[in-house]
Amino acid sequence: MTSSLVLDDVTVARGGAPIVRGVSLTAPAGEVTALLGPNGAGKTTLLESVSGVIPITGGTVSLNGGRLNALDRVARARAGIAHVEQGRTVFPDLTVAENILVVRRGPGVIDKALELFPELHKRLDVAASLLSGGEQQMLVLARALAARPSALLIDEMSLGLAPVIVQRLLPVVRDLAASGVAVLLVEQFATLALKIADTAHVLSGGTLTYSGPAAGLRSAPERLHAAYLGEPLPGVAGGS
Amino acid sequence: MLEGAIAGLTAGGAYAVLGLCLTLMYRLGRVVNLAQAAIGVVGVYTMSVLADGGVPYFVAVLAGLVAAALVAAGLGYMMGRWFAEAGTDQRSAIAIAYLVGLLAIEYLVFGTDPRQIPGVLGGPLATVGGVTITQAAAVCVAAAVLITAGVSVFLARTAVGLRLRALSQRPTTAELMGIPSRRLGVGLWAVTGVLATAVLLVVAPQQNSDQLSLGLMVIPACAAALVGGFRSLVGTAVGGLALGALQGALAHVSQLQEFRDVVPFVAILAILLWSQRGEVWDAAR
Repeated sequence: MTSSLVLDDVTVARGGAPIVRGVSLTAPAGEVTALLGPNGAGKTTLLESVSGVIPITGGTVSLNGGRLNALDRVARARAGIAHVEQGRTVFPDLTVAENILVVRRGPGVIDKALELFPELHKRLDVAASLLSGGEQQMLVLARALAARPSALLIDEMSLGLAPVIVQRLLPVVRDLAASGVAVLLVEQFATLALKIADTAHVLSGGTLTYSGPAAGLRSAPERLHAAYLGEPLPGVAGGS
Repeated sequence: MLEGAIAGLTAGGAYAVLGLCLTLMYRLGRVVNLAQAAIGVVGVYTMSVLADGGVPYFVAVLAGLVAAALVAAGLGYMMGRWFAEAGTDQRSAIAIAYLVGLLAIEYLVFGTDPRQIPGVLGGPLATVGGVTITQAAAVCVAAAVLITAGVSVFLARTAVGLRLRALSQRPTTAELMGIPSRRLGVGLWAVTGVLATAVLLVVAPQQNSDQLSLGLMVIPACAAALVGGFRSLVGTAVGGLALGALQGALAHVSQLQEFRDVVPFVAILAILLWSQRGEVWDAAR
């Protein structure tokens, strides 16, 4: 069976107010699934509900066929969900090596985690707080990899990074997916995400207004604009 | 005066160990645990009641340590279960509630009368240059040094220590990495509860050992932790030992004897004023 992350009719509320309503989507293993949408659309809330930071109020989240709803965030991480939060969340006082070893210890763990980020190899003993923004984002991705996840949730990877760094990271995300991980990429800058995504979903006002091939939005920006404005597009598959 | 300072190292070692517990709880558990010494009192009084009932001393000590660990673990569980997302201020306020609640329960369970706490470290260890060093002082100072070194190595070199440090910096991120914050938090509470009991078991037989006096040893412990900025383990240990030695020395100066118990408060005030000097100066300008 191919591993995948499946959200079925997921609803999430904050303070009693629904933020995400009836979202269904699948992030298959080996693919990059982009979740796009304007500010405040509910993208981060949806990711947080998948990793267990906040509870879902309706629907189901499952990974490789197993329901995650009843699991807390620690158990979900152990089940194979890795969540790379917004804001380059390194452990600032730990060194680069410690940031990786905190997830998993053992011979070769650091080398394996840094395979895609060789520039961090010479900074293993440096405190993470002293790294540049791009290096911190690389470290956060490497740390997530060390957990050997089935599904990787990445929230606003490009936020606050120089374009050259973003260009460096995008192929890495593509490579991660190619290694068999289901990548769900939340990105405010749609064109960046669409460059590497196989499938795209647009969330606007808490509901999906587009679900389909990323190529469908790459080649027709007007469709993307319409989806951002909350206009349901013909052919929206509702995540199927 | 030197003899007084040496004698004061017994209390100083206790301040240091309790201060180390406070620093660990603050750094790793995001709480100023003002119930730290009161948790230790549970263990001391459990031991005392059992020993008075005929239970062999070391068995009673073991039971006291277990009782303190269980109480501390319970309090830590409640903190992790219901106040996991609360900030340090809120968690510290809850710790004050723990302190008041624990003292009330201790009075109900153990009665209000002071107890004579049995001990085995009452005598002198050695006399150097006319100054007597007691066994209790030596054990307390050694405990402060060993715990400082041991905890430093533990945090730097072990997987659990690394995870505790990660949790203290970004609890949500650490949990998203699969680090079990609740279990580690409960363990931290239990270990610090055991340490607090262990050191109070040494000092309680040497001094006024009513529950309130022992429970409020957390105040000089706070002063010690402040010396280390609630960050530095070495600073905390040195601060605790210095406070104890100063109090002991003042006890031997007749004009200042009555002010010895004020020393921790003066130390806390002085450190807070010093740490805020920049803001105070800016405001004044």
